[in-house]
Amino acid sequence: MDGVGTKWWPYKHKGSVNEVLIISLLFLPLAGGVFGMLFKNTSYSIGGIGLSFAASLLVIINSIEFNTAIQWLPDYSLGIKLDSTAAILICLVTLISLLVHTFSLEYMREDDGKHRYFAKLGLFTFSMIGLLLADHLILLFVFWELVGLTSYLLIGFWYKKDGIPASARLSFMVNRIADVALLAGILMINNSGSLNISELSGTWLFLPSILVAIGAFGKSAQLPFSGWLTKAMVGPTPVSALIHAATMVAAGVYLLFRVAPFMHESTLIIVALTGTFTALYGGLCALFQHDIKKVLAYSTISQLGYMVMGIGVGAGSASIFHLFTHAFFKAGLFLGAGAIIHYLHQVTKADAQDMRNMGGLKKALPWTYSTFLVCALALTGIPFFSGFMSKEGIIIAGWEWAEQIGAWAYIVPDVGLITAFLTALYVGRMVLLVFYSENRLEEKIVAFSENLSLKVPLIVLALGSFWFVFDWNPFAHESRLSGYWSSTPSHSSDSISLIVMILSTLLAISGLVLAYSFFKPGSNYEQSFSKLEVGKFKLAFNGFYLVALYQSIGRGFSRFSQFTFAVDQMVVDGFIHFVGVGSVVISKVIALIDRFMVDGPVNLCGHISAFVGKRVAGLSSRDIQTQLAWLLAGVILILSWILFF
Amino acid sequence: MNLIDQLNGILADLQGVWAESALMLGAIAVLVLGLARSGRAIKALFLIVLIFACYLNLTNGLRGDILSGSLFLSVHTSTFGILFLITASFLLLFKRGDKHSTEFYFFILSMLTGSLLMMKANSLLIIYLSIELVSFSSYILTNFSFKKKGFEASIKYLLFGAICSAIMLFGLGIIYGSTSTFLVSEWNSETFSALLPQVGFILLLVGIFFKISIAPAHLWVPATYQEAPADATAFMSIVPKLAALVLLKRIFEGQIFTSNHWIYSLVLGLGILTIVAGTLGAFRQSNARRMISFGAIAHSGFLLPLTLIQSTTASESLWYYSVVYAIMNMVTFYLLDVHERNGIVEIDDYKQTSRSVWIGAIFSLILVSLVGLPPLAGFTAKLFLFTTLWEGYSLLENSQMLWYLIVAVIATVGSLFFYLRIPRAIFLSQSTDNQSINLNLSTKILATLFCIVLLLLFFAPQLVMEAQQLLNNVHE
Amino acid sequence: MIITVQIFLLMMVLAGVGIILFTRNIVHAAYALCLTLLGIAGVYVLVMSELLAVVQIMLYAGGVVILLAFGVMMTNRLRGEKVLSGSNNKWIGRIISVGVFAGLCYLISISPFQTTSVEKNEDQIAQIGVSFLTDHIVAFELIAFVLLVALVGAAYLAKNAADE
Repeated sequence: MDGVGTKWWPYKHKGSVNEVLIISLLFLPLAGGVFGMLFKNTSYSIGGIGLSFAASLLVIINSIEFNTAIQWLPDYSLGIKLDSTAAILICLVTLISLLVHTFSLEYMREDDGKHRYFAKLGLFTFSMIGLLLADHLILLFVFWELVGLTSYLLIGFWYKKDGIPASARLSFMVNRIADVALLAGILMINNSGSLNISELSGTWLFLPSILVAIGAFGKSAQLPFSGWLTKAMVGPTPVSALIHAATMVAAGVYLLFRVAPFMHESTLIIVALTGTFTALYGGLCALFQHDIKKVLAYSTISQLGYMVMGIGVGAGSASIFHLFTHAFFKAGLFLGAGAIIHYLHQVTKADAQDMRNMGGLKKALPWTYSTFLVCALALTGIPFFSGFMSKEGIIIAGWEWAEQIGAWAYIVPDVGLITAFLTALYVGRMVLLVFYSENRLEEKIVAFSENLSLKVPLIVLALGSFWFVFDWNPFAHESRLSGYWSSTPSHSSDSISLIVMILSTLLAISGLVLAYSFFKPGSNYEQSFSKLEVGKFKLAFNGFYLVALYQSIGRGFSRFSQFTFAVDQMVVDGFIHFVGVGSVVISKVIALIDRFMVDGPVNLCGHISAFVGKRVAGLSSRDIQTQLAWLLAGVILILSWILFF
Repeated sequence: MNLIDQLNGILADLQGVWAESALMLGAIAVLVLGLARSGRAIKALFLIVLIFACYLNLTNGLRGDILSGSLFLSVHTSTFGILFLITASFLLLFKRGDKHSTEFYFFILSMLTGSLLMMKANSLLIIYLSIELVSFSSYILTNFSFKKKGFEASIKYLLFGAICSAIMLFGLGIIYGSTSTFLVSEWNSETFSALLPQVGFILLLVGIFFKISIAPAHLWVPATYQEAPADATAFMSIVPKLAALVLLKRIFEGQIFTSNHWIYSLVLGLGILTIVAGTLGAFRQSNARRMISFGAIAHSGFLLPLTLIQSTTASESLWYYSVVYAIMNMVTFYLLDVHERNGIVEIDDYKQTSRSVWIGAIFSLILVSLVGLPPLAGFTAKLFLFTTLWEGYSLLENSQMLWYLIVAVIATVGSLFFYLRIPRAIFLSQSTDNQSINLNLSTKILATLFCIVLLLLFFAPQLVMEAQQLLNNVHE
Repeated sequence: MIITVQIFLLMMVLAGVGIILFTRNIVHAAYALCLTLLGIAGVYVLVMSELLAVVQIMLYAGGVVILLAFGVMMTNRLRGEKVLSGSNNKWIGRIISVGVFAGLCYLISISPFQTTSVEKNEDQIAQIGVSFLTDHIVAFELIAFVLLVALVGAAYLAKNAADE
């Protein structure tokens, strides 16, 4: 990456100085968070993440590369590598994290646990940077788990409220299941060579590669794991912006991007299809939500679907580009939603996340409105905004891929285009219902002074949603940043890109127009919206019952363990009853021996003979004779197997 | 060979059993001192005996068959010996009244002697006697609460143990009868070609499996672990189990079976059964100690296949897993004990402890390590184990190893669901009647130290390997 | 002559076993056990291992059975009632014992046992003594310690049971 920026940093090739730089980059957010919690002062957190961001800028500007390894177990040398891809993504993470920190200053001002909150944010940022720095898959897995843990902690931040611990647990557990697949996949790869990503070679077998892909699906909320992301929305809204929109959920895409060259062919097809259908699923569900954060969550699922689809069709570069643009506009949308929620909390007691309680907020929150609008247009994929460029890249690549694979494969770019239409539809609906028409609340709208620490992050993120940040040409489908993560510029045939560009622009605009005709101020829908019930769109409203599915799986599992428990009991106790032992005679003998034990001055021999003779004076646990009978039966079973087979 | 030569040979070999002799004499000394003193003096003597035995164990440079083949010394026996002695010394951290301390430490020392001899045993006689010595002490320690339930558990354990020991003795008889040798080291690939000695071998396995708690000889574990005093349980769940594993590993090291022999399938099948029984059994337990004891059964299942695979990785993996398992179990039972002293016995009772955040967090970390998640040493142990299993799969070409791997991975996830019930009770309950439990500073510091060790061993697992090298080479 | 003795011993053992199996009176069972053990001691004499025979008579017939009888007597000394034993898990017990028996019979029938002629060995006891102190010294010492532990344990449990 020579040629980017000026090189005023004299230590570019000095290992030890770079080491210090990397270490401070990694640990400053954590240290800031911890000190902030210890000294009850949020400025430590802000300072830590700010310095970390500065360090990452330093790395980018001077294109510092860094590579080292820690000797762990024999044969496991854990590589740590800072290449240009990691560097630019770290820069992104620290920037968004810095903005979210700033935003949270105002958002969490009144909260008792805000120091705990900032410490957790610091821990998260640390883990996320670690994940990006890790070159070894095991090390990556460690940070992967840490990121998952902090996500769990932050979702459950308001753990005293009803239902929040349960939601946090559900999203944690769903993630764990996917993580096990990832671990299993890594272990399988382990036996075919090095686990350092930069030293990977060859093509993996189907099983390990699909397991790794499942792990990535879990983190990136792809089907069938999507349900956890909507459950994660109970956390503080800035957290949703940082973790569940911009950074952590993108970790799955990042992992897929890194390992895609080694994936088995069929796995890639599965990845492409999963991403495609997740995109459609998210778009459909987002259309029917009432909760503004749920709309954004489903939209995130949908956009992550695009990225995963991009990986599957071999357009890793486009996916990372989309990850980048998405991080800006989605974080902006979430923070905007956070500002709205923050405002509504102050004026009303009604549910501050429900769009049925919003409307006409344009006047109350002018800055939020304008930035939200910019980010929303970027999400829609309208030309001159960043989302357009990156989404085009993916759909074009999907088209080209389909040309090679065969006719059925056109489903991938086609569904991509349909989803683009859906995206415009739900974005239009959201913006219209939230900001336009009249307020649906009983309380009166008052103008609200948008605090500087709310405003600055919103403005920065909105600026980052314009095309010129990424390339001067608004119709380019790659960015001047692309060089950081891909060495070969993608070249696609102009005709396809032209068709796709026109098609998707038309679709997006028609989506917006349709949204306007349906949801415009004064329309039937808008008029009845505040009293709207879920009604006939139950299926999509409930995210196709994905969460209910998890819960019933959980219940099924618990039933299963109940069943094994019952079998345990039944085989042992039931068997005796079944054969009719345990009759009056035995109970008399028991009574006799009980009398011996209670009445007589019982010595050791008495005890032993009493116990050997009969049952133990225990209560519920099974008796020793039966235990022994089972032991012996087991031994005999084994022996007869040997003797006769 | 004339008598004088024989006696000289014995004198020369005595060095190999000095540690055990010291422990036996120390046990008797504890008993004698108990007549005059109690409490501190006993503990001090116990510690001195352990340190002295450690010294003797470290300085012993003998390897191979000693004392006309009765015992076999190896890297494993010397390093595991040190592990056992250190584990025993941690028992001093548990709170223990003066009343039964003399006898308690006497039985601990005798169990330790039995365990050391068990893993060194090369003669069938020694195998039997050392297992009996360990068992006798365990039966009595189980009853040390002197309550009805403890007595019940103890008698059950005794009956179970007696039957297993009888089965094993019968097996030993059959083996001796058909091979006319007592010595394990004289077995070879021909020894077990006939059916009769094979049956004898199975019956011998029953006795060893009883000590490791492999299904179906695991049924005694929950009741015993629940009722025995916590320190005794901690010791019983670590030392005899690991000793029996080392013994089993040594038996299989003799290449007496080819790797596709059905004995391998049998052992692997029972190991899978153990993992399943331990994991499923733990789900519906309401008592914390009982749940942990099912977890310990599952851990036996995890460790078992390491005895079948003959490779450096397997040995290292066994050593690493054992060390980590010893630390984890010791501290788990320590914390359980601390809580039980405050009346917190059932898992639901832990809801009352949500105020003691620090100890709760430490406890949670330890349990996470028992599950096997990063960044704790339990993860490294499991990872190492899985790697070894995979190696075993490719080395032995035994597809059961692959199944074992799959079951082990699934069980690891499964264990998350029961181990984490305690942290869940501590942190996620909305209990109103919070009472902060009474914990002194030293408890917190101790638990934290253990936790740091587990973290350290995750980041620097080679420390454990280097320790093995070091311990093995001290005598030079 | 030998045949007669063998048949006699077999009957002795079988009669003892039969009584143990079918009586519910523990004292009777103890005496029957004594009979069985004496019969087995006789078998040892027939295969020329006097030491085992002597040990069998002294330890088992003399010691263990007497201990059992004492135990029974002390248990019911106050009431003077008979001590009866019950049985549990009858069916599974029967299945297991028949299984064991059938399995062992099958195993013995298919296993080629080596047979050697029995020779009279004059200084058998001396040889066993020497081997205890040379080849099996560890086992010998270990037995001593095991017995010590058992003794201490029994005394300790009995003492605490009496205390409470």
